[in-house]
Amino acid sequence: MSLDNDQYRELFIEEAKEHIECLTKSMLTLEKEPQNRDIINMLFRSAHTLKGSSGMMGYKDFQELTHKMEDVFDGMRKGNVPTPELITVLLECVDALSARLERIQKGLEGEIEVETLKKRLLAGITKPSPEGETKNEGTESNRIQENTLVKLDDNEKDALQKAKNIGEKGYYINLKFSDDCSFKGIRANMILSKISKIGEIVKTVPDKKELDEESLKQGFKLVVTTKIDEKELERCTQEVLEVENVKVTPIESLGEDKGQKTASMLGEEKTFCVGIENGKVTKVLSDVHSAQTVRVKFDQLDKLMNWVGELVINKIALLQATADIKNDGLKRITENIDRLTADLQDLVMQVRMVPVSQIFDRFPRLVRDLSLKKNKKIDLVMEGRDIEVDRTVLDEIGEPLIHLLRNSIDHGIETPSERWQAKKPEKGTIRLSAQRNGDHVIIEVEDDGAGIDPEKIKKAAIKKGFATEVELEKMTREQIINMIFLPGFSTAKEVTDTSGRGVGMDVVKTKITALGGTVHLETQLGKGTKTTIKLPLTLAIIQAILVNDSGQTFAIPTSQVSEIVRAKKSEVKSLGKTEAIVVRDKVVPVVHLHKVLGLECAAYEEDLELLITYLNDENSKIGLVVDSVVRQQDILVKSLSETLSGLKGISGATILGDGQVVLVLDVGQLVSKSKN
Amino acid sequence: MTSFDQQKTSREEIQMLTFSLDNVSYGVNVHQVREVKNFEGVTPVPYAPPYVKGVTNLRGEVIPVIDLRKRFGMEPKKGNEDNGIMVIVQDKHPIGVMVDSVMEVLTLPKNDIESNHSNLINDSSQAVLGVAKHDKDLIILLDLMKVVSKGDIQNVKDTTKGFQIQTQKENEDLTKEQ
Repeated sequence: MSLDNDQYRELFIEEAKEHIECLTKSMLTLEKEPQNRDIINMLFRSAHTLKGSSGMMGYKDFQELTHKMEDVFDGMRKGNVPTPELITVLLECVDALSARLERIQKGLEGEIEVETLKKRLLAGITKPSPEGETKNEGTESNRIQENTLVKLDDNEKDALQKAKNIGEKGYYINLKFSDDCSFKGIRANMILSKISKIGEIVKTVPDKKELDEESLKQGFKLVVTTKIDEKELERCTQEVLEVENVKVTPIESLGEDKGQKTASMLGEEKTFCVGIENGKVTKVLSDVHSAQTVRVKFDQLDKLMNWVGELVINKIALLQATADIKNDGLKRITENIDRLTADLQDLVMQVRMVPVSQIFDRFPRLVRDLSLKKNKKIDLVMEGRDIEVDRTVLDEIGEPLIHLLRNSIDHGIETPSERWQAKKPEKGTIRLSAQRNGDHVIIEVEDDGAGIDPEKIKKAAIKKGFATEVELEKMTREQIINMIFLPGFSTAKEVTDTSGRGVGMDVVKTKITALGGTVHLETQLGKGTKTTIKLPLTLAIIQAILVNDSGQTFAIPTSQVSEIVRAKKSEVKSLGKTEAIVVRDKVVPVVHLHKVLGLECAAYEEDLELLITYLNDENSKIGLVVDSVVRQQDILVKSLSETLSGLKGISGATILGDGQVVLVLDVGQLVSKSKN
Repeated sequence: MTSFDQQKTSREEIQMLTFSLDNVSYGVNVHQVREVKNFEGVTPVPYAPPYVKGVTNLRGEVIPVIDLRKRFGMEPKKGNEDNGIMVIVQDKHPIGVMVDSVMEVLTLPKNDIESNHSNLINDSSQAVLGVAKHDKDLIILLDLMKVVSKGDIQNVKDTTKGFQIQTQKENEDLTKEQ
């Protein structure tokens, strides 16, 4: 049965992604706790589900590999102790699955090279250790209990539900052949053909195709739907000789809260997902029934957000338009609309919030692989995984965080012998933490590695022509350190395939600034480095200052402006090529907005306004000269379409209450552009 | 040019929206145009490609507006009064295309369309799908998707500069490359 239907495919992809994520995560735990049965069981279940659903979709290679993995996990359940090598191979299998899944999603061809992976899996399996065998017995009862349950996937549940709708009943049949009985396969097939005359077979364990002596030793389980009652069904199956033990249980409900057994029988997969989604790998049976959730496409959420943003902006326009009208009735209405839109906005924001663990949980794998490659010993400690941020923010911070982590692994943490010499614990620690701070989320990446040497930065800066020795002399230590955020600056001695290509930190900086956030770096030679990223919780609606310049209106995110200063034209002094102004006894270099935008200066008035903005750090301020500041207001940032993508200094556009389109500027990019 | 071919075989006639640029008529398959709106001003975008007139508000969506004259390397028109904007959708993103004026929807039999136009128009970008005869006019059929796509700007520019000369001289055989 191949359901090559887009809708099913989408469902399959989504479900498979969750399972693949779970596999990776569980495998890393397993590496630390090779005998954790809960984890092994979870791995087994995930592989099993993947096997089932991929088979249904007709992805044979996917099915085959997951089947093999399932076998390996089954071996672990029987007491095989996984070696680190085996886990590495298994992780590679997961990678192959995930790559294949991506291809499926994009509609590309290319199957998994199952055979090679299979061979390597086989090579990786060790013989069961004697210790493992005793373990096995201890948990035998556990296993039997589990075996009495048959897991049903969604399609099978559907079949049950359909049968129920047309007045048929679902039954769960557990039968056992006597031990010395021969031709179990044939007998099982006889039972199947008998039942298929009186009802529908939804599922069998073992699978119909695998009915042989060996698999049937454990017994034979069926889920069927039929009109006849359980007594009749029992009698019918016992007609087959040498069936020792038959137990027929009606399936009462499908996931409703009746019947503990059915709930665990049918709800297992779901429970499991809920458990993972909450960031805890625990089974919370009751949650399956109480927390009802609906899957919504991100697309639709984005649209919803967009419309609500639109509504907020129109609300602002309405409030402005009616501000001068004295009418109590109207006032009440506008107040209500004000409140309702605010509530709606809050709710939509909440709906879009996802825990950072969605990104964080990919990192243990990354750190593991990289540290193995680099022969370093590194512990990744994660804190605040349950902190929630807007999905758009989360989507964007993955890449910068990977950069930071790679930097820490590549250049931060020293090799064990270096650490030994420095009298540090052999194992380095990278701490990744998230915390809420008002409307912001603060993410820190901290390592206890070698730190950044300002002298090295100085040398690199001179070599690469970023600064002269004289200039460096005047710089503070912080300013020097902050030079690593400059484009094209990299202090790494060796170029690795992961970092050190000179694109590291400026990418981080650019990305975070584009998100309306800030990056701050602290480092102590020999002690370690800490990078602090501060981000707004949500991106879509931001506070912005509307300014006028050269007859055009622009929006500048408030987060990029530290203060607004009024000045006279005559106060701007020329310093050769550049201009500067004295603000509270400090010289601040200035740039004119129309100049950086390449616009013609329409009216150069005597009265100017100066937006002071910080560039790399608090010590390097720069003033942006505009004709006038209009006001401050919430704006909904919309991205410019493909045709206009990649324009430096323009991060998007917004529509004001009167329908006017206004460009949203990125001051940092504009200024650095004007410097080049 | 496949889209037109498919149209032809299935229905024997095609519907196209015609517009003018410098008194030359152009046509575009109606399926490529989502809507037509009047030009109501744009917000210029600094450092945008020169053929991008700016961005405008289409019912709450910010869409770029491409100036087809600039795209084709023509002189700017004096005054923007009657300009029309055709909204097309490329990869789900709407794009406005500004022309001198949007004229009418014509239904033409496929026999009136000459797709072998290589001796009429020098078209390396393949943005020209054919030349249609209508009354005594010639209408150049364009694939707007190709015209607005970010790549081969140069090609389109060269090509359509070519249209002008060649259509004015009508069937005169011009084969030399630009």
